[in-house]
Amino acid sequence: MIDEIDAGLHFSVLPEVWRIIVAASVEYSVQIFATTHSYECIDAAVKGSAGNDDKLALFRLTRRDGDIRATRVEHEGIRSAVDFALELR
Amino acid sequence: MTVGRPAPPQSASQLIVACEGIDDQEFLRRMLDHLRISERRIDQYRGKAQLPTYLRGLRDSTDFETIRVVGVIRDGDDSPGGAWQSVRDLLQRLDLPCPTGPGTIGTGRCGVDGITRSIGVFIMPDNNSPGALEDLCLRAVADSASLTCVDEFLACVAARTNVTCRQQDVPKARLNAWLASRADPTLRLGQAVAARQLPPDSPAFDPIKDFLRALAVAASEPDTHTA
Repeated sequence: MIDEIDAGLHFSVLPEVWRIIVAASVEYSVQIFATTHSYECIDAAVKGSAGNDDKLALFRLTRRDGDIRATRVEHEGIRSAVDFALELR
Repeated sequence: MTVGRPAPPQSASQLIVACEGIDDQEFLRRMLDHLRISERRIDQYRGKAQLPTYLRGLRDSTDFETIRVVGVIRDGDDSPGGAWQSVRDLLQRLDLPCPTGPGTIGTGRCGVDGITRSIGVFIMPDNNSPGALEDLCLRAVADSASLTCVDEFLACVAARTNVTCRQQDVPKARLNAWLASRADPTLRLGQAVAARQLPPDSPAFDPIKDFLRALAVAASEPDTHTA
């Protein structure tokens, strides 16, 4: 679990950070949970997971009617939304 | 990564009109202004090949949570029936509400929240004929004497220079040459609508105006959705 994964990092290094994280998770067969409020970080995650398209999913937490609901977005949906600068947070 | 990328659009609009390119976007913006439909957002999906990516992204985005009505506007090109089938198949593949035919609006629950939304599809220029936005605009100025001059000009250029555009681009060439022949030759397509060089009240625009009005009515209906 990596909370606020982009905290303290310049946005320009985020794609490489994600590339390394995704490669490590594949090599060691571990699942990474990372949180962020940053759109640039989501953008970087898409770029950093290129070639491992099925390894990335986004869970958006939304408060509705007093409850917090999680919505899963698959890699293709993330990539599509980022491509058109549509909001994912 | 794109340096200096602008923040994604934040929209509370319940109505999104999605179109192919910048000229369509400007035309629709001016036409929606003319119809006094101000609560709307107009997105470009950058050509028909990108429509699947756009719609998937829209469906999965946070933006979709506030959206109740989507209007998809696509060029018919050389096969309006094929264009309609392509959009219909896409909507079904993405589990989005599908209208019964072009020019109409379908309603159903969709998205991860299961909210009732409406989606309309309009195939330019009139849901039946081959062509695109430019063909529609040319109909609105069909009585203009200048069009004869434009055709003679384009024929002259072709004869003297062997420069000819693709057959499917002829309406674009005719319309752009016609716009360049106006008193203010600098106006682009959308601006020409706002300046009424392209008369927004022309009957030629009735089908697209009826469609846009229907979208606005659907978006203004009481929100009866439940997840």
